[in-house]
Amino acid sequence: MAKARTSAAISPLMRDLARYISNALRKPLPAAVSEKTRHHTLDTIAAMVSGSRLLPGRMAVSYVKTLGGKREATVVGSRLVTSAVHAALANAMCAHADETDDSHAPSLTHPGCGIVSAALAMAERMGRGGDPLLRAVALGYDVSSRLTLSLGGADFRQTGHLTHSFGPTFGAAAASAALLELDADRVRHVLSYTAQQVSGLSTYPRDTEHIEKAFDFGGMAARNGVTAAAMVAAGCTAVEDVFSGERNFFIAYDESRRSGRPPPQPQMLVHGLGRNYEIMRTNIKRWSVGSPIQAPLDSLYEIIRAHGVKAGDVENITVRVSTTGADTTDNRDMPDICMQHMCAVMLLDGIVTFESAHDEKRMKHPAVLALRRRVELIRDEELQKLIPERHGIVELVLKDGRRLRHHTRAVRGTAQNPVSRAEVDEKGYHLMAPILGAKRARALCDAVWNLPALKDVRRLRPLLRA
Amino acid sequence: MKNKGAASAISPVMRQLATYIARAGGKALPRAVLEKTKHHLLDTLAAMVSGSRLLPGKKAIGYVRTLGGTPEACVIGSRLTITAEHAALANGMLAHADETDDSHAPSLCHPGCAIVPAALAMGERERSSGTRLLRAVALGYDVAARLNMSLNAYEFREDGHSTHSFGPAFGAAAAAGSLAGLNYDQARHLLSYTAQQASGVSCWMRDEEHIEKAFDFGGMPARSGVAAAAMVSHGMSAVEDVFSGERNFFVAYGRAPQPEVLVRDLGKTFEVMNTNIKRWSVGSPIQAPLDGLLELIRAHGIKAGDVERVAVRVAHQAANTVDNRSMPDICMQHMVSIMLLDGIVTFESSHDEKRMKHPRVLEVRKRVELYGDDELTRVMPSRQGKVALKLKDGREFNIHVKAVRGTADNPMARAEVDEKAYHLMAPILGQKRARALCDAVWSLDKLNDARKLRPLLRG
Repeated sequence: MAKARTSAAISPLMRDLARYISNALRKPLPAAVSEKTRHHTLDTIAAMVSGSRLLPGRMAVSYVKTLGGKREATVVGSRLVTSAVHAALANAMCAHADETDDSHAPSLTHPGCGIVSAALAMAERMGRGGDPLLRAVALGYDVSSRLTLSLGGADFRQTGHLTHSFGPTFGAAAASAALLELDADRVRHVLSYTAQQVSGLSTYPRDTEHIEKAFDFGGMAARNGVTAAAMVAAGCTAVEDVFSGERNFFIAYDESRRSGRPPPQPQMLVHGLGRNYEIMRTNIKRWSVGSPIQAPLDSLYEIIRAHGVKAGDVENITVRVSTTGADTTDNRDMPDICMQHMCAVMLLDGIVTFESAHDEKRMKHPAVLALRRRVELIRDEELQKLIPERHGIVELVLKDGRRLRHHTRAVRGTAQNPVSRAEVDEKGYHLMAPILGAKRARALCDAVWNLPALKDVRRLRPLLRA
Repeated sequence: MKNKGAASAISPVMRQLATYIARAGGKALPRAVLEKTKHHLLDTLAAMVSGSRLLPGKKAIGYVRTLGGTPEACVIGSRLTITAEHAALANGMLAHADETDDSHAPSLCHPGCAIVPAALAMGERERSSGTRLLRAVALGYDVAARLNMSLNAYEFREDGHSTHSFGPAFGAAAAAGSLAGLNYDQARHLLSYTAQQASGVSCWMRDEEHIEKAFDFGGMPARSGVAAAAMVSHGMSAVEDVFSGERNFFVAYGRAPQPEVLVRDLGKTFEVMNTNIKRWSVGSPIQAPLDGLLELIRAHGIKAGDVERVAVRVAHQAANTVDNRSMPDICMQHMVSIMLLDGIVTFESSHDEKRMKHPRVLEVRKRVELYGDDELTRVMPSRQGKVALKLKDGREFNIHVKAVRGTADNPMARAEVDEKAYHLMAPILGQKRARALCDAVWSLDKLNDARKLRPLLRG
């Protein structure tokens, strides 16, 4: 390579970003960021374990089984250990097999499913410790969010592209490159291989079985990110600066002429890097149910805990959400997107788990049906005005005449109202216990909380397999 | 899958295209198309074999060696047999390790380096017959070229996208899908997985070592196409019609896309017929003069020692590109001298840097003159060339090459393709195996299992 000639052509932007990625493993995370990164790591692992038993996950696991490969990384929820690239593909599809995984609202991405799977596979391949894994994951979220934001976020999706794969592909690549300890020159090449592979269309709402969607959001991003880093680690070179110069990445994806919206802002890639950790702005889905049902379940749970309410005490319930939210969830056939059913389940059980949210048989149970008749869903025009903020108001009239009301303004788990460690633990545990067993699910939760002390991520293998 | 509900939403373009892909394996190719497909298959195999010893090829093989996998398909020029997806990635990079591979001008892509590796890998995996393999390759060229043309290839490239990876990814997927025996419903899902993976930006020309470029043109589209086919063949479902409806492929890509071009003259115009084979492994502007010179040498029995002076004329910008360059394969004066001395140009002689200092070569080179020509500049992008030869005995010969040999307007004969391929492969496979591999391709329609090619392809 003509290093002397090309080094002059590298933009300050690329230099800053590549240096940040190559230094990320050496730089400790602030305590709050380390804590939040563990939340998202556990939340994503739990989504993988639970997803490994759903159709998209089962298809992904059996698919990579046919491919074979070097024994580098675990396929979660199976007995398979395979090449990092295929483990990342399968685990990422498992992580987005349902809709329990995390999301970063400003960039319109689900960062965890693509990034945590890539980082986990690469950390296993390299035998890295828990701290490097967490640093790589936090890095991945930072690169992923900034990439999609630099392209205009919602504007970019409006022109048909897939924000849900673009950012996470770069996030997965950055996390993988960091775990391979590539230097800044080689990181620039990783970014070029990533830019060549990054792809995706926002046709996914038309996917009926959620298999392609699991690939688009998770598997494809993880596979391409790991591939970019692994190729460079194997000695493949590339274009020195894909983010500037002739026919660069931002020229191809400048849709301002078509959309009439502002052109890409490459500077966003490094904006606030090292100060604003995007994982802090990432939402965890507390309940494994449709988005409009989150706020009412938060309110109901609050009322139940505060007043010791039992299902038998309830005369009637009024639930108010936005008009579109109500339309989406009004007396639906599937339990996890049916508002009336999920409120009944919460009252009966005092909690909602992944299992109870997906238990179709229970929709016909007399006790559930009796309670469901007392639930009234109201389309609220005022709450509609607050969208994209998803408020919910629940009013309970008890048989003894008491009236209890709760208004959820920021859904629990969103960046404005983050969940505590205990709540993440509870969600993760409940997702994993039915598959891993109570003991291993407990041990896996604990292992994630103790990741900073873990010397080799491969030690998680016995807990991840099934 | 909700097939009933979805069926009404399938566009006529998607219906025709998916039907064509699903049926291509069972449909005989016209004889001329079958012959031309063999040319391109052999030409690409030769590029792979030769590429396996060049830096991008060596890096590709080194990379997939680290991955391992189920022994489904062989990595050419190595002892490795791995997953079809990884074999296609490596072989795709081999095929575009240099610039000897074929090209389709109207769609601005190099179809062979992505489509043939994908077809070969899936053919090995599925133990396909030679006939099926050839049909899949021809199908791949048809789909690749049309996809780029539906986006208006020249505009699409101007906007910064890489025509060299978009079309070929779909071509590789169609070829691999045909060999995997995908039905009509699956073919639609195949196209959705491919559309999700189609990618590439056109800054590949800034790649210095040609490794990333080999991935962008060959390895990546071959990998993505095979992955799409393997996933669907495994039972994965997808969006029913990615080419129409809400936020479809053509919403995201193209200034004024023409989806109907995807199926225009499908089954009548076979795009492999419009694909160029590079006769000489040298820069494009040098092709026409070498054609002319060989013609004169053969016609008049000319030897290097007979020559007083050679005047070569090409377009002005072409002359600038190849004037006294330091690399042999892009130096006009040097390559003309080699052709005069050897009476042929091979991949080896066009890449022999040492010979640029050889006294005999330098002696001939002194008599070569290169000129930019106004008339030839006006006919660009047709890359024409004129050669004027003056011999020591006073005789003078002139020739004007209007259509470069190997281009669609002046296709090579089987013997010429054979000669090029044999010379590319013999130094690596040995003469006997190179001969056998050429012959195996010519009689491919009689081969019952693509895996039988393996002993000839391995290094």
